[in-house]
Amino acid sequence: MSTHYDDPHGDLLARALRAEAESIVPAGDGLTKIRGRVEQRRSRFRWLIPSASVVTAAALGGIAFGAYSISHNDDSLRTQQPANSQTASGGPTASTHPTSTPSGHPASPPVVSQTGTAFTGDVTPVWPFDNAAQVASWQQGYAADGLAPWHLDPVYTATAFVTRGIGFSGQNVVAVRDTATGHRSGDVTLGTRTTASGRTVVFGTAHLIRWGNGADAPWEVTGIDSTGARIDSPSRDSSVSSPLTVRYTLDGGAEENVTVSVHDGDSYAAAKPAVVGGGQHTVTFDLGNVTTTNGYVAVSDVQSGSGTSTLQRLIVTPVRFAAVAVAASNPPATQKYPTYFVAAAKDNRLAVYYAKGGGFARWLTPPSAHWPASAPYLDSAHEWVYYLAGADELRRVHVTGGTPETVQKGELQINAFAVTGASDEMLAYVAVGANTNGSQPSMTVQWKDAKTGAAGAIAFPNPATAEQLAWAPDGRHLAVTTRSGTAWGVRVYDTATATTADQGVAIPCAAGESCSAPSYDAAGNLYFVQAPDATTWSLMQWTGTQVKHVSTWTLTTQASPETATVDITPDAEAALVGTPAGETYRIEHGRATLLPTQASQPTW
Amino acid sequence: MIETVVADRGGRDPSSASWTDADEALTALYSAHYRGLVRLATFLLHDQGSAEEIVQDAFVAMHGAWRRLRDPEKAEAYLRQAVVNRSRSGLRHRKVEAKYAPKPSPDAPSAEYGAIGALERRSVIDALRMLPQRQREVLVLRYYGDLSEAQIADTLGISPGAVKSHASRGMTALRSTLEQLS
Repeated sequence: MSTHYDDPHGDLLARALRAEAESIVPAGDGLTKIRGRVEQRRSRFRWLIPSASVVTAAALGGIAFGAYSISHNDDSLRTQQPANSQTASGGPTASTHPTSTPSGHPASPPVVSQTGTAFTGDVTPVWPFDNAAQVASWQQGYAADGLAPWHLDPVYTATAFVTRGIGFSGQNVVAVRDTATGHRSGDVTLGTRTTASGRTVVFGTAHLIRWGNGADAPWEVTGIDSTGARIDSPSRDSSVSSPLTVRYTLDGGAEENVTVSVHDGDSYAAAKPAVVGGGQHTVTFDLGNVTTTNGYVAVSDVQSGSGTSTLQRLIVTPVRFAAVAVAASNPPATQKYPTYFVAAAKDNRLAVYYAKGGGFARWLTPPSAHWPASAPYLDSAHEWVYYLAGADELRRVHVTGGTPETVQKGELQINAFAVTGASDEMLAYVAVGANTNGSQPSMTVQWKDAKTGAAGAIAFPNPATAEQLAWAPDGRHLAVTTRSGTAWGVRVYDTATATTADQGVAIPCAAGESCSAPSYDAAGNLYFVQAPDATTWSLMQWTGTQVKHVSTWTLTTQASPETATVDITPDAEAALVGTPAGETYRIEHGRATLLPTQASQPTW
Repeated sequence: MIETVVADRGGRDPSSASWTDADEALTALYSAHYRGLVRLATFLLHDQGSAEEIVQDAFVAMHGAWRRLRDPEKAEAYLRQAVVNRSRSGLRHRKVEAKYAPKPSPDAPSAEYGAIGALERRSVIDALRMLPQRQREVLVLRYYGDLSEAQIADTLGISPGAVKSHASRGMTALRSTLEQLS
C-alpha cells in the first residue's frame, strides 16, 4: 500500500475496499469466454457487406450512440449461421437465437467456429410470409413478371415490417447496421430518424433469414430485440395458450407510451397501452379468437413531444398459437383473416395483394386500355371476384385467375353493384338510364335472383341518387347510400317488399357530412364511412338500433369520401378502407394503418 | 496495490509497444486488468456474476476498437470507462432485483487485511451501497482504483471539480461508518 490520501478516512476506506476485493475471485474461464465471443464477432464482421444507404445510416446512428458505441447488450451475444433449408412443416430453419438467461446473456458459452455459431432449431416466421405456399406464390410471380423484388432485400424487408407490417407508418425508419445482405441470415439494426434534430434513435435489431435455398429465396423477419428491455415470457418460438401472460422488463427510466400487443397472423389479436417505469411488468391477454398458427408478441414505446412521435423501442417475439386447440381444430366456416385481398391497381387491372402488409402478389385481370376494371368485390366464399368492366358490364373472375365471365351487361350504365353472401346468386346494382326526364338521368337500384329469376327495383326520382350498395348477410336486406344535393343518407331496404325510395330504415348520418361505402359483417352490423371533409374520415357501425363510432383517422392523401370503399372481415375484427386517391387503410381495434398497396377499392 | 486495477502505474508491459494485433493486446490486457475490473464492477453492481459478464463485454468491445485505440493506456481507459458505463446500465436493470436479494454472509477475513474485521468491512461496503451512484463511483475509482481526480473525471465524463465535490460528499456520508474502523 503506497498511496496516501488527504482525507483522514481515505486510508480506512481503501483498506476496507481492498480487503473486500480479496474476497472477489473471478471465475477462471473469463479469457476463454472473451476469446470465444471475439471469434464469433470476427466471423460476423467478415460477412458484412454494407450497402451505401446503410453506411450512411450508420453514420447517423453513431451520433445517437455518442463517441463510443458501447452497449451492454452487445450484438455479438447473438449467434448467426447461414442456415437456409426448410423444415418438414414448411417453416424456415434458422440459427439465430441462443437460449438466453433473464439478463440477456447466453445460458452457456457459445460453440465457436469460423462460419458462425452452431445453433439449429425451427424459427417461427413473423413477416411477410406465413408459410411455404406464400413464398412459392411470390417466387412464381417474381420469376414471371419480376414482381415485388423487395423480398430479396433484407433492409427493405426489416424496415417495411415495422412501418407496414406492424403499422408504424408515420415513423422514418432507417437501417443503422446490416449483417444480412449477401448472406442467408443476419441482423438489421433499425432506428427512427427524427427530422427535427436529424438524430437517429436506435430502437431495435431485426433478425432475418432467407426462406428457402435458391437465389430467389425471400427474406423473412423472425423477431426484433431491443437494448434495455426484453420480453421474459413467452419465450421465443414457444407455443402459447389462452390466457396469455406477457411478462417484460424495462431496465430503467419511465417509458412514455408502452404498448404490449399480441398479433394473430396479420392482425392485432389484442393491444394494451401502459405508462410504466423500469422493472418487470405483466399483461394478460385472452386469445379466444386466435385462428392462425403463427403470431408474435410485441412491446413498443413511442415517445411523443413537440407534435412528433418517435418510436423508441420495439421488441418482437414470435410465438405459436398451436396450443389454442379449439380454434386450431375448428376453424370458422369463413376465414377470419384472408391471405389476400384484391384491389384495383394501375393499368386498369385488378391485382391480388398479400393481406399481411399489403405486398403485391399477382395480377388478376389483363391490362385494358378501353374497359377499366374497377370496384372489385370478393364473394364471401373467397372464390369469385366481381368487378365492373367499362361502363355497362359486370364481370367476374375466379380468384385464382383465368378468363373473366360476363355477369350482367345491358343498355344501362352500371354505377355500383353488390352481390350476396354465400350463394352469390343475388345481384343488385345501381343503374343509370338515359336522360328521359329533365336534366338528370333517372337512377334505379335493381336486383335479381339468378336462381329463381325474381327481380325488383327501386326508382330514385331526381334529384335523389343512389350511390353504393351492400347486401346484408340474409341476402334480403339491401343497404343503399343516398344523396340529394349535399344531404347524404343511408337506408336499408327489404327487397321482398320495397318498391319506393322512401321506404326502408333510415340510418342517421351527421348533417353536413357524407356517408358512403356501406359494408356488412357476418352478424348483420352495417359499416360505413362518415366524413366532414377529404381529410378526416370515420368508420361507423349501425347495429340495427344505433350508430357507433369505430375509428377516426387522418388521411395521408386527401380524397373524397364519396367513393370510398369498405370491406369488413366476417367477424368484424378488421376492415379495409380504400380511398379514391389510391390509399388503402387497414382498420383494427380502432387503429388505422396505411398499407403500401397503391391501389383502390380493396376487397377481401 | 494488489493489482493494476484501472490506473496506469507505469508498470506497463515493456513488450506492449510491439503488440501488433488486437488478439495480443487482449491477452495482455486481460492478464493485467481482468481481475481488478471484475472487482471494480462488483463494487458498483454488488453482483459478481453480472460484473464478470460486464467486464467480458468490455473486453470484447475493446478488442473491436483496438484498431482505433492501438495504445495500452488508451485501452485501459477504454476498458475502465466501458465497465463503469455498463455497470451503471446494469445497475438500473437490477434495482428491483437487488431490493429483494439476500445479503451475502460476511467473509472470513483475509490474512493481509485481517486488521479490519469482516463485519466492519461489510458495514463499509453496505454504507457505500447506500451512496448516490456518482459518489459511489468516484469513491470506488479513487480508493480502490487509485485513480487521480483527472483520471476519474475522464472516466466519468465530468469535471475535476465535480469529482472533488462527489468525493467530499461521499466521504462525509461514510465518515461515521469509517470512524468505527479507526
